[in-house]
Amino acid sequence: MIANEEQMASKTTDVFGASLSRRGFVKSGGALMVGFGLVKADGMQKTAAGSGNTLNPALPESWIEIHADNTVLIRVGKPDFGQGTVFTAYRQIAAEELRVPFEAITTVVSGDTDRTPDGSGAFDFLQGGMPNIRKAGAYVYQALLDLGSQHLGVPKDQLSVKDGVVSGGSKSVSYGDLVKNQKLNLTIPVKGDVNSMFGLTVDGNPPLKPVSEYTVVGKSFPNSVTVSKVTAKEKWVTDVRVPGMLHARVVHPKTLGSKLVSAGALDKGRFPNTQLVVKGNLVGVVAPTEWEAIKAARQVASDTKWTDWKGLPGDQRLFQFLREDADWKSAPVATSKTSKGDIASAIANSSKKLSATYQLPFLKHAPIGPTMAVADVRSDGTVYVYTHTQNPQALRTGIAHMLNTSVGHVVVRTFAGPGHYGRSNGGNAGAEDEAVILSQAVGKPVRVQWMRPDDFQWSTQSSAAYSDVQIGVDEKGNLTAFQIDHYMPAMQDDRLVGAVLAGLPTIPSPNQKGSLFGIANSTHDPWIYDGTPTLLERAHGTFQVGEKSSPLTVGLRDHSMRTPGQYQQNFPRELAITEAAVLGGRDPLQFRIQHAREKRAIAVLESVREASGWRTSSKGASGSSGVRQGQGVAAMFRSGTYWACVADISVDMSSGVIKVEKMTISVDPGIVVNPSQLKRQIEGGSVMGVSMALLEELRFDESGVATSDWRSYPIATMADVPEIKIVLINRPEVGKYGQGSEAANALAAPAIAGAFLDATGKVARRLPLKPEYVQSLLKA
Amino acid sequence: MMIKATELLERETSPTVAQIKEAFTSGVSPHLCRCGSYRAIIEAVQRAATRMTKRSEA
Repeated sequence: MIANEEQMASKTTDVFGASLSRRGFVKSGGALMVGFGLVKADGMQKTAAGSGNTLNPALPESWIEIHADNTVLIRVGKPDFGQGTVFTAYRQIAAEELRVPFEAITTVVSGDTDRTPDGSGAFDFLQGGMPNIRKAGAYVYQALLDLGSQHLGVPKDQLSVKDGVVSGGSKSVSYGDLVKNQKLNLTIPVKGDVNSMFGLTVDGNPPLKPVSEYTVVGKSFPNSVTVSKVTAKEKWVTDVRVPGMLHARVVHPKTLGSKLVSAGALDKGRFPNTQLVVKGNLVGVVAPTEWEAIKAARQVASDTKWTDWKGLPGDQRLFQFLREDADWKSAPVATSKTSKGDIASAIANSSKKLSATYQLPFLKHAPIGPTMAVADVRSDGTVYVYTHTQNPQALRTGIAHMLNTSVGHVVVRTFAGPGHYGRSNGGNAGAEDEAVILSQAVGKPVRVQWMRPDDFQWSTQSSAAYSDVQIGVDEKGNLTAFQIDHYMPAMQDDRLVGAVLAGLPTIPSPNQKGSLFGIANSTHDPWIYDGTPTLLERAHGTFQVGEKSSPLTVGLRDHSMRTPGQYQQNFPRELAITEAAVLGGRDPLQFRIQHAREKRAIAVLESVREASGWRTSSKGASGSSGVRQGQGVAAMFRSGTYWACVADISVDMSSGVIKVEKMTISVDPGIVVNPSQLKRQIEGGSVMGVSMALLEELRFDESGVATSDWRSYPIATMADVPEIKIVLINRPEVGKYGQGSEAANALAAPAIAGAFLDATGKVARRLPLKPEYVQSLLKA
Repeated sequence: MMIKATELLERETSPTVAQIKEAFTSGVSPHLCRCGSYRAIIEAVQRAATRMTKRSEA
């Protein structure tokens, strides 16, 4: 019997490139665990244990666990950011491949570096990130079929599985019984680097379940986390407390380029138990209670001296600065692959021409809660960081780099918190590294909470941008030529800002050599009007504004935000397309359909035309007073998904106030995984898009950010919410999952500006469409 | 959001959309949702109102 067991234990089965082995037997329970082996360049596998990767391939980071009680656990590196995707779509996709009910997946572990296998961040969930859970599920299914075949004595190809029960030859066995009393391990091939921004990718090609046989994907399963949030049972990042924890506030520099002259002396009489920490230009105050930390930080700040700095152009001069002073020559110019033909002569020979410039301001991600983190740097050199980040593995890498230690010494655990909209997708939200530096200095766990003005001043912004457009239209009103040149500063600064202030090692900024993303811009907005005979799309990049002249190398740091880059390029393009239609006397929606060739693009436009009740005649009323109505349209292809949007607006001709009455959005993502989740994400994106189009603009002077609260950086309230109508176009035959949410943000601005043109005959080429700007256009 | 919804439903058993918007935007400062989930919140308040009315009638 023992010999038999040993024989069985040593047996390894090949499962489409994965290997299934029995590690032993247990008296109770039993499970199939899924670890991974890294694929080397030569295709040979080795286990993660010997790869320099700190994750153990067996436990406890198993990708998927099949338990003896027929329950299933899945682990994903991507943390939830309120989208609920890991708790809905990922469970659905895993359940589909595993052939188990959705409810059988009872546990989802996500976003902790020591408890999840694959890393990466809260972005690109369904297109780029989804293959991991789908393929891991497919490997496990094949392994379970092998086990079922052995157990039932029936060849694999004669088995069928339904609801986690393997049947064949009039016999059947549940997954739970297949793993009962056993320790089974499946090692699946992976490639990539778990510590990088994009994490590990499951390799190989296990057979995937045909989309035509789907029963779980496509249904509206509710987000399991909603209940715990509504009933206040969820542990939020702000609730994290660890034994012996102290509270801290950071006294940030006076400007985005100020160096420390002298830190204010701490009044020990008033704050006997508080400590002052100064490291480079980082001044921290650490106290037993949060209120004492706040008061002591104010006291220290009042007496702290900084150098002055005026290295920014200020918001009033921003676009003049970008056009006349910024260096667009150091980065290579990117030209889109869809560019074609002799644009100069095509424009010259056009009967009607248009030349225009479009401008988008810097925006703030503006999370509802300012960034915070708890760090515990222990005496043995291990570091625990409790936070809310979109990319825990990348943060872990950054923290290890800052401390000059190995990633194996750093653990990042994530908790629910406010949305970041891309700000922390490279790891850092702001407070984490400061908490680590202060914890190391005082030898105790430290909680750093930024105040609202800290968050507006010291976080990154979404890049400002401008685009120059030239259009040619023929006598019939067809586009003959479209040229667009996009200009945008670099937008992926993932440096830990506390480390920058403290003078500790960081990764390079986009301005510096060795940066992963650099300052080059790219053509982010795929062209969808293939019927245009000549096209030139170019993208120009430059350095982050103010960084070079800032003694701190800070200035206006930028970071990707919802539909990054593509938002900045789609607004000018789509508004220009509307203008081109109007120039040729054509209906802007029909104009788009006639210039599109891809049938999915045409279908979303036709869908939104019907769903919105699109009116083909001009909608503006005559007269210069009163309230006018307008309709506008915008379209986009993003991450495998086609979008079309119609905005219905009203314009108060005297006050200049624009109100968005209704947003209609048609979306074709290929396979719709969870209709109600997708609908909710689109609704949210639409509202944020309305907010960006009408209200949002970073105000800054020559020294730094001039907005410090919700009054100086207003965002949409419930009063601004329009009626929202969403049409989901499910196309299982596409066979792919397109991205579902963030593009909705970008659709609003060009659709609203198009509606403004329709209502008033005036073109608003600069965002946001605030009343003063609208009034100036109406008077012109 | 939860506290404001509770307060509203205690005084209005069947609030209109306009009343809900008023409740969440009046006062010293509006209740802000950066993710733009306002529509879901409006629908949730109305759903809660319907359920609470049914319960009190039963």
